[in-house]
Amino acid sequence: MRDPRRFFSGTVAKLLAILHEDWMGRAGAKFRAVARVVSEFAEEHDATPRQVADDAMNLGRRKLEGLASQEHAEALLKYAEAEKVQIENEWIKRTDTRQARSRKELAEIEHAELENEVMRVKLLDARLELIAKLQKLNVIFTYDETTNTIIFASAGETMRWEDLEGRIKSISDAAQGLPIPTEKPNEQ
Amino acid sequence: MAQIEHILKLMAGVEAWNQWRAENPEVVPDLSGVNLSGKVLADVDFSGAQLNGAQFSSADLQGANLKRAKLIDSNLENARLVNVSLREAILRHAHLKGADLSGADLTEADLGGATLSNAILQNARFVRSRISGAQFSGAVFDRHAVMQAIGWEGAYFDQPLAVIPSDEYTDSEQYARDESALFIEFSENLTPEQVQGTLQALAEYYRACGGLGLLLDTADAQPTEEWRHA
Repeated sequence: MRDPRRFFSGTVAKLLAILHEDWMGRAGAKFRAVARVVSEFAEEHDATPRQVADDAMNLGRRKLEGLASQEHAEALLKYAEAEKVQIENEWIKRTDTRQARSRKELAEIEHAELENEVMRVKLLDARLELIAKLQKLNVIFTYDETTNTIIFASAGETMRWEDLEGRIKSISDAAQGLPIPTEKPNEQ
Repeated sequence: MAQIEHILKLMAGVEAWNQWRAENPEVVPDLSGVNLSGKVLADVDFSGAQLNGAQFSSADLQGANLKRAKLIDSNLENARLVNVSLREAILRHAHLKGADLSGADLTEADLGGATLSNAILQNARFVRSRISGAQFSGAVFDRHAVMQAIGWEGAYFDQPLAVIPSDEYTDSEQYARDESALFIEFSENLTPEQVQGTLQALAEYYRACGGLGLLLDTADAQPTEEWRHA
């Protein structure tokens, strides 16, 4: 939980998970599971608080320069434009699929996919890809679930990415809202 | 000068006071300079009342209606002012040190020269509030606090202040309940490439999880307001 006295000043924005059912369903659960692990790791390793304090100290100067926030705002808008296109494409993909198949069929397909080991591997790959991107960008974050807030900061030199990768690999199916695979009886 | 009949009405209890107020809307109560320190006055109707110089230190005024009340030079130190309405109230040079103003509505209130040191301002709303010369050192804000004040000349904050635009959040509770929203804050030290790249990475991951995407609510994509020292 964030200490409200450590008031962090940075660019503030809001992201909307367009479909509420996605965010409250499995997609959101998977997303939050990873955010939770990254955040816990960052807090355990003191990867962000010091950085945040440093940021606060530097803030006055940056504010006077009047550059950082404007640059961030522009970066946010660039993200927004690119993401709109991605969302439109994803939406078209979904609509086409929905038109082709009934809701029941889709539910059955989704369930079968989740049971599928290939799907699990794909999800693991996506998690590791996210961590690889964060490492490349040298950005780490803390996540406050009660307020649905993510705070991003520079990772710092002491960040042990390989350990985080290990932690990410060990996220359980249950934590992600995935069905737990049933053990098959040993064949003699 | 306070009117004795008004003091007596209040001494009869909050319920009786509120009933009297409802029955006599044309009367402007005058409790100027009265000492009400430590009194429990939760949900009291002090709207439009003359309370200049009144003493409310450590009083419990939770949920009170103080709309358009005149509280010039009043003492509200350590008072419990949770969820009070102070819309258009005049609090010039009022002493609010350590007061709990969580969820208070200070829309268009005049706080010129007021002391809000160590006040708790979580979820408080300062929309078009006048804060020139007001002291906020050690005040505790949270991200649900709405700071859209005017007249910042000489206002003192000893820590950076993140400003959340109020237009979208006329109801701060609604803001907190917005479950499909993910609020993000970026360190000022991050480069624009880091900001954009991180958001893209998160959105791509969300899509890989089966989500449609994470749309930026551009109404909120504003840089934080310059924080000030007197």
